[in-house]
Parts: sequence; C-alpha cells; structure tokens
Amino acid sequence: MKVLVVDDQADNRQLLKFILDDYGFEYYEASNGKEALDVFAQHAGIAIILMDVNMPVMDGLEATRRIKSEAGNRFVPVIFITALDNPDSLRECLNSGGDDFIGKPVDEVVLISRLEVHKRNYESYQTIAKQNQELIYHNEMTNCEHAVVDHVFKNVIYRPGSEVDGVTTYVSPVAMFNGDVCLSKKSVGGGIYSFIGDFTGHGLSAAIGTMPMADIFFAMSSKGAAIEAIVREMNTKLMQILPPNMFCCAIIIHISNDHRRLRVWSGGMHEVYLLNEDSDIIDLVRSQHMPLGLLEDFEFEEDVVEILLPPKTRVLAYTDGLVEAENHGGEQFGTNRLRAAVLSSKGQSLIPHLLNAVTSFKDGADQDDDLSMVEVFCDCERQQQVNLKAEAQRNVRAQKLKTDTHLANVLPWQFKISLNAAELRRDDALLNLVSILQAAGVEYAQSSLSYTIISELFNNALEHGLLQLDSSLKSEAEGFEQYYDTRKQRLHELKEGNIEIDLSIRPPETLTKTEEKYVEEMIMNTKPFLDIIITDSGDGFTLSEDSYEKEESSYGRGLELLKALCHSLEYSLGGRRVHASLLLE
Amino acid sequence: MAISSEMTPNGAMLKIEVSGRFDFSSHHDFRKTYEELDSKPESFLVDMKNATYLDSSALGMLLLLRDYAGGDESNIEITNCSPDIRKILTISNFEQLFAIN
Repeated sequence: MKVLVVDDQADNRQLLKFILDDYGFEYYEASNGKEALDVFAQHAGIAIILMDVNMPVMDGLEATRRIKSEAGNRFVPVIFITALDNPDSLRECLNSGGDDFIGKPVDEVVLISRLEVHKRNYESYQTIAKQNQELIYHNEMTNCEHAVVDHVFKNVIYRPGSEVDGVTTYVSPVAMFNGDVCLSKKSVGGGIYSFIGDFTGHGLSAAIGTMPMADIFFAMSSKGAAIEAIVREMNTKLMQILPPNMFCCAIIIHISNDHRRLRVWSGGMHEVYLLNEDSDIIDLVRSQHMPLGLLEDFEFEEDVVEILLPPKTRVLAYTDGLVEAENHGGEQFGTNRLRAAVLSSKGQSLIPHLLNAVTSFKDGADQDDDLSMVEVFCDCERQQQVNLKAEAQRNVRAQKLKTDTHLANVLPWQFKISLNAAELRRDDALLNLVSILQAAGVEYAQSSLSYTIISELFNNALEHGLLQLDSSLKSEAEGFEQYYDTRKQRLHELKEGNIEIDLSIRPPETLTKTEEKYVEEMIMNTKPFLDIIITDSGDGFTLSEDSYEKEESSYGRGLELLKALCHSLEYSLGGRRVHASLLLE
Repeated sequence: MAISSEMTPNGAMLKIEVSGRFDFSSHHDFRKTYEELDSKPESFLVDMKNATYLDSSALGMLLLLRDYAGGDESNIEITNCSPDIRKILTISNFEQLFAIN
C-alpha cells in the first residue's frame, strides 16, 4: 500500500520512512503542499496521505483541500500529523477535508495501528467502489435490454388496425412492463373480438406471456376463428411455455357481425357487466372456467356463454386491479363500490367514469397491481346500417373485380373421364360434366362462359373429330337442318371411338399474407385457371382458313369465339387434342 | 332449351323467347317459330331473359333468322342478355348485325 508523507522537515520524513519500511508500506515523500499535489498526481495508487500542517510554499490545509477535490469520488484518507493541544487547529484540519489526526511526536505503535485502520477502510472502500461500478454497468445493460424488449413488446401488442370502433380500453401498468393485456380486432363482417387477460405477477416476467397471446389472438381472429378455438389454442400455448406457477386469467369476447349476439369465454376473472342504454344491468356473466395455462388439453373446457344483445348495450370486462385498488387505510375498492359506480354512469362511457371513481377512492394511494378495463359498445341498429353500407361497398368492389374471395382459396384438383361411343350417344354427357364442376364447389362453373367453352370444344371433337361432319353444310337453312340430322345419324351408327375429357384447376400461388388489407390485392393478382383438355380418337382435322372468314356466315364461328374467351388455346396431335385454359374470374 | 314464340296482335312483330341452353338441340324448334308463319312479320324480338348459355350453333341460328328476315334489311332485336351472353355476342361482332340491348 502506497503512503505519501508530506513534511518540510527531512528528519521527520526520514523517521516515518523507517517505520513504514518496517511494516511493508510503500513510501513516497513531499517537502511541502505543492510538491504533495505533484506526487499525488503522478502516482495514481497513493492510498493514504500523512500530512504536516505548517509548511512553506503551501501548507497542509490547502494541500488537503486540493487533493480531496482532485480525488473526486475516490476515497483517499488524509491523516494530519500535528500537536493535539489546539482544538481550533484540529477543527480546521477536519474542515479542510482531513480524516484523522496523529499527535506529534509520532508514536510508532499509534501510527501503525491508525494506518491499519485506514488500510481496512481503504480496502472496503475499494470493494464497494468495484461493486458500485458493476451495479452501474448492470443497470445500464438492463436499461438497454428493456428498451429492446419494450420495442418488441409494443410491436407485438399494438398492431396497426387494432384500434376498433366501439371498443375502449384502459391499461395502467404498475411496472414498465405489464402483465395485463387488452387486445381487440374487428372481423371482416363487422363483428368484434376482444381479449382481456391478467398474468400472475407484473413486470417483465408477466409481460412475456402476453406476446404469444397477442400472436394467437391476431392470427386467429383475422381468420374469423371461433373463440372456442382461440382459447384452446392459447391454453395449449401457455401450458407449453409457462412455468407451473404462472397462469393467465382471461376473458375473450366475440360480438357477432350484426351486433345482436355476444359470446363470452371467461376463466378466473371477475364478472362481465352487460348494461342497457340507461345503465341498468341486463346480465352479469360470471367466470365459468379455470384461468388459461393451468389445465392440460384434455381437461380444458372451451364452452362459451351466449347472450342476445338489445340495441345500445355496453359490455364491460376488467382485471382484478380495479376492485383490489386500495386506499391509504388498506381498504379495497371492492365489487360493491364498482357496482354502484357502474349503475351511476347514466348511459355514459363507463371507463372514464370508473377511473374517476377509483381515483377519488384511492385518494393518491400507490397502485399495487396492473389495472385494465375493456368496454365494448354494441348497437345492432347502428351496425345494421354500417353493414348495409359495407355490403353495398363490397358489392361495388366485387362487381369491379368480377371475382369472389373464394377463388383465392381453391385447391388444385383434376378430373378425367373417357366417353365411348355408347356414352357419347347420351345427350346428357355435357350436362354431367358441368354438374361435376359444380359438385366440386366451383361456383363459377355456373357461369355460362365456361359452359360455352366446354360445350364448344366437346362438340368440335365429336362432330369434326369422330363424326367427320363438314361445317360448311350449315351455310343454308336446310343445310343446317341437314347437318344436325347427319350428326344424329352418324352418332347413332358410331361403333368405335372415344373422347377423353380432362378438367383441372390450377390454383393461384398460396400467399401467406393474412392481413385483410392484402386480401383485395391477393384476389387481383391471383386467379385460378381451369384447364380443359379434350382428346378424340378420330382422324384429326385441319383448320381451313376460309372456314370463318365471313362475318355473316352461319358456321365456323366456334373457333373465333373460343380464342376470344380462353386465356390460351392450343391444338395438338393433328387436331385431335385441344388444350384450353380459362382464367376464372 | 325451350323455345316459345308469340306474335303481336297486329302481326307486326314476332317475339321469340329462349329458355335454358340455346344450342343445336333447339335449332328445329327455333326455326319452326318463324318458318311456319302465315306471313312474315316486320320485325323480330329474341328475348334471352331465361337463356342460360349459348354456343356457336346458336349464333348460326340467329344468322339464319337474319337471312330469313331479309339480311341487311332485317329488323331483329336481341334483348335481356346476361353479361356472359352479351360477351359472346360482342366477341362475334353481332352488334353490327342485330340490335342488342
């Protein structure tokens, strides 16, 4: 340990040097205050200073003041070596920043015992300083980590479009992070999903569980999932990730598209209030289930309560932080005060009203738990107007797009049929094909265009491929009649030959975007194809250029029509096979 | 594929109504509606209100009717077409030959 001795008397310094050397201290010296400042500045490790009071150039008091100010937060004890008979001088020594005195003349035993005391202090100071630095470091690291988590957390919980008309929420966290979570989502048809949850504890450890809840909630509600499916999924997820002592009390609400029906699943939460226009209680939905994250999948129950809603109904759900809010006397706000506050809201929005009530009850007392509320205002009469308007807009849009959302969700399929001569004689062959398309759920097969195309291709294969009929017969009225009489006759006599029909749907590429706003775009860019491949066993035919040159000719229009209606049209195998692709809209 | 027709009381216009599929299977009935009349009406009205689809042979039949009615001098109106039927008529340039609405 480095000790600096400051004394203008070389004899005094020499004496102290002998003693310090004997006890293993490292000796440094200065002959006045100014020199002491220089030595102190040059040797960073000086731990204790033995200081004389009266010296030339700069005295001990001034030197101590400067050294203390130089050292800043670093603790460097200064021990004055002085006569102990003058209290005023001693006071001055302490005022200048000195830490201790040793009387003159110096006694070896006293000096060493004092130095040992200060050595101990110095060492414990060093330990504290080190620990303090570590604390500062950890604190800064925690702040950085919190900032990152906070960013991620906010992005997960607050999504664009999660502000829903008619839904008011209030979340007041105790700590920076929140074990309460309120999520809302409007469904495509105008219905509302709302989730309010309360994880055990608060702060970061409670908040972490809210993230998968939000993911599940937004993903499933945007697909229009039933709340039974959503709670089950949430429970499964929490069982998988949470430690056994953590769980989530939760309510999930779904308001139907017409705002006439409410469905509620409630686990471990206080009752849900349903109020009419005059703030009379229509119904209270009590919790029917255990909180999420406690029961294994096979024990978990997803039954929901279903209630019909009159117009202008307010639905209120809240976490226990509301009724357990305490005043200075340790008394809780409680369900009775809540009920009274609810009843006195006089048809006004509940959340501001309840916040006023609980704030004035607490009268400035600290908040001990996360406190959240969600209020959903449902008005089926107003919603009917909204939905009618939305439907009208949708119709306009659908008309413009000439398409439906189901087109984007078509699965690929293929259907092959081979008809022999006997089967071709049946005049319902074509109709059967179309009913197959319809049976496969392809609504657009009803569209007369696809029917026209299939019929055109099929008749070409039959009439020209198998029956070898000549279209030019149809140029006269009598020929027309003759053409179809011949058709009938040849078909009747047909012994061999077949027509193979291959229908398949190529769906658009499956996109993963689930957000509503992408749906329209998706429909625009991705329409399925209907591929029609018809192959006949005939001799093939060549297309003569003049067969459809005349505008007013009563035959030869089929091909022209096909080319215009199909996305692509290709003949192969010498005219025996035709492949038409139709973009379904 | 039912074809029905009706003459206006003064015998000036023949109204032909096509129901269901309008294809070769109805050519006989379609032709009968105008060929078996005592006198040729001044104008024709083909009502597609109940037609579900038509194919190229139907187009041929309409052209035969036009021939019968006097070709370029004919006066034939095709009415109540669904968008799909309208599309087929348009592709075939029938708007230049018939009054379509």
